[in-house]
Formats: sequence, C-alpha cells, structure tokens
Amino acid sequence: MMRFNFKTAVIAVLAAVSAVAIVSCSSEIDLTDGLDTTVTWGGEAFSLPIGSTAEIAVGDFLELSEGDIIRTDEDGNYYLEFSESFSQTISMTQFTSRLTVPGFAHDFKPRPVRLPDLGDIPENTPDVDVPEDVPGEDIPGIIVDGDKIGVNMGFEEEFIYEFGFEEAKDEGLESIDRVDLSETFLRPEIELSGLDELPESMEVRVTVEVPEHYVFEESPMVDPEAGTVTFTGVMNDEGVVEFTPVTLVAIEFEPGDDAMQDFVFTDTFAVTQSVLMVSREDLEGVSGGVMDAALTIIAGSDDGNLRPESFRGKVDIDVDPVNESLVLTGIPDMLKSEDASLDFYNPRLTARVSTNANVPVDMHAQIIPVFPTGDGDEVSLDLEAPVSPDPDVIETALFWISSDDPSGNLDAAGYEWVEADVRGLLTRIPDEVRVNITAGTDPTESAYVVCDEEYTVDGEFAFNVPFSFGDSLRFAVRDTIEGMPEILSTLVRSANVQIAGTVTTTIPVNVNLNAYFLDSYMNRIEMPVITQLINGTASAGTPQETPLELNVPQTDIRNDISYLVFEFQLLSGQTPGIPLSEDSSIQADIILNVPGGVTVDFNDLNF
Amino acid sequence: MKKILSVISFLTLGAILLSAQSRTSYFVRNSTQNHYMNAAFVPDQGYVGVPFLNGFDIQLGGNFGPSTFLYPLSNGKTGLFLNQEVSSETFLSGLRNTSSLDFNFGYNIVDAGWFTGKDSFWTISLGLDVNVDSSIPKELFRFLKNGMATDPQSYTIENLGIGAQAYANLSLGYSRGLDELVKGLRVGAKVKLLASVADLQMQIDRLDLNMSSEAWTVNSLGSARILGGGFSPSFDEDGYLNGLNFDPSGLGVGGFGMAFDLGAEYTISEGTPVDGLRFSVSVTDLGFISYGKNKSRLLSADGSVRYEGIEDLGGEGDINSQLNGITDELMGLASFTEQKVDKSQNGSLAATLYAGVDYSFLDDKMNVGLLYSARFGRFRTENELTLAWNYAPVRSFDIALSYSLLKTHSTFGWLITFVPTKGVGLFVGSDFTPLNYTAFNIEGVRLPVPAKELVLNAHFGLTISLGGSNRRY
Repeated sequence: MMRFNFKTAVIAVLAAVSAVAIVSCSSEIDLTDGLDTTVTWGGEAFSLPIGSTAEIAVGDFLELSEGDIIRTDEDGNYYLEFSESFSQTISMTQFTSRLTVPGFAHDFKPRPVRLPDLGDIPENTPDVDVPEDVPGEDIPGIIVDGDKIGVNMGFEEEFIYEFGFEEAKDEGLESIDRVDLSETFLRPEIELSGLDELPESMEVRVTVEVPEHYVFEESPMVDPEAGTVTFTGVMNDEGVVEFTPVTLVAIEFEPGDDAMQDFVFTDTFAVTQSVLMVSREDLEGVSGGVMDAALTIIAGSDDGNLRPESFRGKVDIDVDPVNESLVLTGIPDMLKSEDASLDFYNPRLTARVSTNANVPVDMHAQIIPVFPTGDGDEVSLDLEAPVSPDPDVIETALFWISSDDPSGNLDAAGYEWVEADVRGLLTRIPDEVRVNITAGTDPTESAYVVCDEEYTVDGEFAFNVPFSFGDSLRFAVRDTIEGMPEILSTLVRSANVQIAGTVTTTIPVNVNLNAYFLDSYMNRIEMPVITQLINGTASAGTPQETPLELNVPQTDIRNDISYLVFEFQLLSGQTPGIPLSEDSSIQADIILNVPGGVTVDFNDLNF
Repeated sequence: MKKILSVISFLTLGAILLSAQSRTSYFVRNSTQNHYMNAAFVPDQGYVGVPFLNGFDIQLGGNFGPSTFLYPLSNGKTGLFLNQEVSSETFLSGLRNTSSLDFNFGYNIVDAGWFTGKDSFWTISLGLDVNVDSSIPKELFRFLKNGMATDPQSYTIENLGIGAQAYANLSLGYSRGLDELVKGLRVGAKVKLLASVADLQMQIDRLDLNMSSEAWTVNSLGSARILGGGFSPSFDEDGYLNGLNFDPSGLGVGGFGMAFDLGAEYTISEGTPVDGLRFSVSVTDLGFISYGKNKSRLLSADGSVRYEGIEDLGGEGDINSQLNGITDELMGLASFTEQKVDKSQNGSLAATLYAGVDYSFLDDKMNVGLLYSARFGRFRTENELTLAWNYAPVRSFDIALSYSLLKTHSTFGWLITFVPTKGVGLFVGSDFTPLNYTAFNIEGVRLPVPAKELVLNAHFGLTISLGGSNRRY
C-alpha cells in the first residue's frame, strides 16, 4: 500500500502549475486607440455588372411627339416639316355696278300717217321713200305686198347712244374688249291713234340699223351683214301692236379706240324703215284715214339698264396683302439653340397656288425666318397663279422652290422650279417663319371676267427640311439616371472606380460621352467630367461597339451622389448629308470595376 | 504582478467554462468521470456527486482566435482581417477548412457510481444539456477576403450552418470485469433515456457563387428544422422565414429518445514486459430523439439567381429600388420556406468514438496514453488525437497532462484529481488550455485571450467517495 507522499504531490502540482505558468502572452492586440474598422472587399478584379441603359434612340432625345414639326420619314430620317397656308379673295362684284350703264329709249317725234286710199293705190305717192326690199310691186309711196297694202310711216332717222365705264376704270379696269350683257334687249314700241278702230290685220315693220360691234342673239330678225335688225309688230287682241324684242348679247370694243382712254363710248343707231301694212280687205274700212304714230326704240333690260354679265378686258386689281406668321412649336430647345447647328442638307420649299379666277394673278412672296436675335435672310419669290377658264373649276399650280435645279428628282415631278436660296434661309431652326404675300392681277393680260364673281386664290408654302449629321452639327442630349445607391458615393470616396462595359451605337457619327454626377439637389458633384469618345457606326444600321472606359478617380466628395448623367454629344461627321435617323440609337452596357475592391469603414455601413 | 494576474485570469476563464467530459481524464485510473467516455471504465471506489456542485458543463470552443481576425496595422491600430493591409495568404493560412464556434452547457443534477459484488460497477446520472454548434467553411472567408481575384471567380461554400439542441438525459450504466472469460477484459454499457426540449438547425448545404463582369450567379441549397416546442418560425409576406419566435410557455418535452454508451477495456497482465498495456474502445451517445410531426417544422431554401445587371437603367423606378429588388431576390435564396411535415422527425445525437491505448509503469503510479476520439457532430466530424501523461504518487491523487494534436495546435490539457478513499474529492482541469495568448491592451490593461484558437475548456466537480472496490491497490 502506498502512502500519500505530500512532498511528491507538491512537486507534481508545482510541475503542473509551472507548465501553466510558462505560457505567456506572445502578442498583443492594442485596442487603446480603438479598433480600425476599415475593411476592403471586392478583390483585385472586383467587377459588378450594373446593367444596360435603355436603348436611347435619337427620337427619345428629341422627345418628339406626334404632330410636332420634326418628323421622320419611312426610313426614320428626320426632317422639319411645316407649312403656312394663305387664302385671299379677288372680288369682281364691283364691276357689275361699275359696268352697268343706262340703256336708251329713243322717242321719235310723233307724226301723222295717212293710210292709203284704195283709189289712190295705183297712183304713186312721191313723198314716201319706198324701200327697195319691200316685197311686192314697186309702187312709189304705196307698198303692195300681195294682199297687203302698206304705207311708209316716215320715222327714218339716226340717233345717238352714249355711255361710259369711267367708274370701272377707277376699279382697275385698264381696257375692255367686250361686255357680255345680261338679259338686255332691243325693241321698238309704237303708238297709233286717230282712228276709231284699228284694222286687225295691221302690222308695223321697223328696221333699225345698229353699230356693228353690238352683238345680237342669232335671229331671223338680225341681219349681221347689213347691220340691221328688223322688227315686225302685229296687232294683239287689245289692239296694240307688239314687237318681238331681240336680245343684245354683248358689246364689243375696238382695241386702240380713242374712246377707250376715257371709257366713254358713242354709238349711232338709225331707223331705216318704218312701214305700216294693212290687208286690202281691212283697208276698205279705213281707207284714206289719218292716224297719229309715235315710235320709240328701246335698248336695255327690264330696268332700262345695260347690265354686264361678264367682260373681257385688262384689269389691275390689287389683292389685300397676306401677312402670316407661323410659330414653330414643339421643337426641343436644344435643336433651336445656337449650339445645335444642324445641317439642312436638302431643304425644300414647295408652294401650291390654287384659284378659280380667270384673271392672271401675279404673286410676290417674302419668306422670312425669325430668330431670337432678329430676322434672318429672307427669300423673295415671284409666282404666277394659274388661270381658270371656269369659276367652278379650281386650277392649281405647284412650285418647287430650291437652290438647286430639281431635275431628276422624282419628287419634283409636276412642280415648276423656282430658284431661290432656300439653303441660306434655314441655317438653324427659327422660332417662327413669316410669310408676306402681295398679289394682284396682271394688267398686261386680257382676261375674261365674270361680274358678280368672287374669285379665290389660296395656297400653301410647305417646308420640308431634312437635317442630318453634318460637319456643322453639334447636338447634345442628356440622360439622367436617378436613384443612385448610396454605395456609389462610398465607392467614389474610397477607390478609383471604372465604369466599364460596352457602348453599342447605330448613330453614324462619333459621340462624345460625358458622365458626371449630381447630388440630391441636382447640383454637380465637384469632380471632373469623365469623357470618352464613342465611335459612330461606319455603316448605317450596323451596330458599332466601343469598349467603355470611364475612369472615376477617387474623390472625397462632400455630398452623396443621387444622379448619374450621361451626356451624349453628337460630333461632326466627316461626310455631311448623313441622315439623322430616329432609329439611330445608343445603348450602354455598364460594368462597374473597382480594382482592388471597396474600402469602407465597417461602422459606416448600413445593414 | 501583471503576469500573475494574467495567469489568474485565464485560469478563471477556464474555470467558469466547465465540461464534465475531459479527455485528459480518460487515462486517469481513479477518475470518477471517465466512465462518461467509456462505459467500461470504473473508478477505484464508489462516489456520489456533491449536490448542485457535481457537474456544470459550459464550454465555448472555436478553432480560431482573435489573432485569426485581428491584425496590427501600420498605423499602430488593430484592424480587421478584411483590412487591405492584411494579405489574403496571411489570413487564410490561419484558418482551418471549417471554422467552428461551439457552445455547450450541461448541468448534472444527479451523478453517482457504486460497486456491487466483486467487480460490478453501476452509475446513474440525471442531467440537462444544451449544445450550440456552428460551422463556417473556409471558402466563405476566402470569398469575403478575396472577392473577385480574377474574372471570372467562383466559390462553392458548403456546410454553412448553425444548430442548437437542449435535452435532459437519465442514464444508468453498468460495468463488469470479465476476468473469468479473458483476464484483463472489462466491458460496460449505459442506457440513456432522453427528453428533448428543442432541436434547431439551419444549414446552407451548398452555395455556389460565380462572379464575373458579365453576370453573377448564385445557386443555393439549404435546409432548416425546428423540432420541439418553445420556438416557432415567423414568415414575411412572401412566405420567407424572417425570424424565430421564442415562447417560454411552449417549452416542455418536445421529443423522446434513447441512447447507449458501449465500452470495453483490455489490460495485459500476463507477466510479460508489456503488462500494464491497456487497450480501450467505446462509443457514446449512440441513439436518437424522436419528435412528433406536430412538434416538427421543416424548412428549405433552394433556388438560383442570375444577375446580369439591371435592364433599362433609369427606366421604371430608380436604380436604388431596382437594386433593392435584386437584393431581395438574392436574400430570397438564403430564405427558408416551410415544407409540409408528414411524419415524425428524428434528431440525432453527436455520437463519439473513443479508442485509446495506455501503458502503466512505476507500479501503476504513472502511465502514458494515446487517445483517438471522433465526435460525429451535426455539421462535421471532429477528430482528435490526445497524448496524455498521468502521475499518481498516491492512490488518492493524480495529476495529468495532455496534448491534443488535431483540434488545436497550441493548447495543452491538464487535470488534477483528488479522490480520497472516503470523503470529498474534486477534480479540476482542462483539455485545451491555450499556450499561446494574446493580450487585449485596453489603455494599459492587458486582458489575455487565446491567440489562435478560442478554446476555453475546463472541468470541475466535487464528489464524495463512498469506498468500495479498489482494484489497483
């Protein structure tokens, strides 16, 4: 049995304690100054795909909406299109009154007419001038026409008709060739008295010699060769002799006539025959009787005037000026700014003039662009309106106004080219375009004018201005991405950050990509703008990829980043005339590279 | 003076972290505790634990230490392992393949052992155990430290999890020498009745991370379970687990189970030069705990997210909200949704295998031994190889030293056992007493803490010897 050896036990305990005692603090973690909670995470190749911006089409930048002045064609190419229309009336109503003149009613001096005595018939009556064309036997003073026996009433004499268009001259009538009259007639009237009863078979023949420039309706009564109109009046049931009137269609005037100077005309009419005829049977009752006769020759309408329906002549009528101003709205300010000098590579101005006027109308138009700084260079145009043969027919003339001859341009087919410096008209987009039009009839051309007509002259000036990337283009747009995460501010403060990735563009010119940050108040963060050139596509429609390398230097920014702004500045192209297509777009696939990782204070992290 | 204070400090730290199962005591022939590791082992005499002091079991163990994560910086301060001054190689070389931080609490209410007949030994114990295990694979730290070292970069993180278990056990053990069959052979067994309060576990079985400048992809596969009462999951509006509610009123017996300890030892005593050479093998906690399906909640997380960036940056909503949406989606990968439970669930115990060989000499006053142990935990198997030296100058007193090779590299074990023939005895010691300390210097006051491995472990108990068989003397 073994005794408890206390000494040995003590030695053993001491040995054990010694083993413990030999341990010591081999190092020290000094927390006197606190723990440095700075941590770095991410690694040497830390890279985070951020995502893709929306495919930002040029149309998105321009923020165009339907109906704006900037439009796109079927190929997506941009062009400005705006137009200004005008309308004016050329009234001819004044000529109705100004060319209306009083007709005439020439009264011959009444005279007694002795009816032939049947017994005297064989005898000649020397005082009577028997016309040669009176049918029947050639018996002087007495006219025998078969069963009828007549007597010359003796009204043969001339009379003068004078009228004038002086007032029409004041309205712009330069000359007149012809006046077409409305419902105007020439007719005689005769009153017979002195007998108790007039024979029923009595008839009166009156032949009027008329000026040859008076145009009558075609009728057996009218003898154009002789320049006469013969009226035959018969007794009606009321015992009144009635004549059938003949329509006076027009009056023609001789060009160069001295009367044209004052528009006062004097015409001579004459009664060359006035014969009263009675049947032999009826003459027996009144044979040898004397009666009184009063003859009147009347020309005019119902109201006694010569009323014009139309006329042919030269007129000089000024149309009220047209002053229109077209304010170009819906255009982004960026395009109107002086920085955005666009290349209007093929500006086109077309004009349409439509009218139903049979009057040659000359138009003079001034097109003036108005910029904030004042009026730009104007373009003056002289346009000739078409002439319509019929007021019910609208005739249209189309004009192609351009700097260059549009021959060969299919679009210009049907247009009349008017050369004008349209390219100089629009060097940039104006605020408004003023169109001043003065128009007037051509006094050198004779025209057919319908009185009481109001002709219309309307039209439109249309601008079609494709604009493009050209050598003068500077076109900047911005895309602001909001809601930047807080970690981005931390990143920028702690490390050099590279915004990498790929930019894909179908825009055919180079793009300068600027990136910068805004704080929550939309103020620029105080750090340099990061810039990179993005190559444009060499072939339209073919995407061009450019590696994105935007280096954001570590910056101790004061305010947190709230917005990231991408500013795309379209640069000048080498070849002007490349269309700016709405479909042209740019898109960035963004990768955030933070070489070496992110260094932050652990205490600053929000979990 | 400071050094003395330091020694006292770490001894105190060790003392309050108690464990009743000391590998250092495995080869202590007169230990009243080593039957917890091998049911065949018996002390020299019967004993009964001092009421309320017969065993506390609190253990905090991690295979990393402050020096693993804290480094001196050039500015004189101490920085975290993610500081850019700390190289990846330096940091990662200090990590095991799997980092762990475990916590165990045990309280033995009853503990007694006594001999019957010539060589039969009975034990009985009643105790409560709470175990918290965690597993953090090195790959996770590699991801945190290296990030994207290359483009692309991939990580596969497996077996990331945390688990907790609380149960009471009532055990009855029996050990008998079988000299009549084979001289020097002794076998023993224990049967344990288990009553579990709760068993919680959340585990990411596999998490694949692929990072490149083109896309980040994450694939995850995870599972979780809540067995027992007192705890219930809470879910957000999307049905994802977002918390764990604790209701003390729900605590109680959530599951029942049974476990066995089996052990054997064989000591050569054939009059050969190797007499005194002892071989021993045992397995403990071989059993299960079953929970009814109404006491079981199962959850799983299985998904894949591929992030290629945000489409239409600056489009609908701001980027912040878009990123938050993606973050929610990523978090959804690690979020658990509840699964239907259609049968009872079994919770396993952490069985442990012990295999040892030791040799006594100097009339059995001294022995040396080599112990291999393997603890089959919920996340990993902990292998340990312990060298031990024991010296018992008298039968009632033993001092032991040990060195464990695998779990830690900078600790040693020690144990002092005093077991009188009759009367109050004690044992105090530690399997893992750190040798390498670092000191937190806070304004001149140096607080020692284990430098490389945060293993704080000690054993303490008071017993009352009841006398009985003492085979050795």
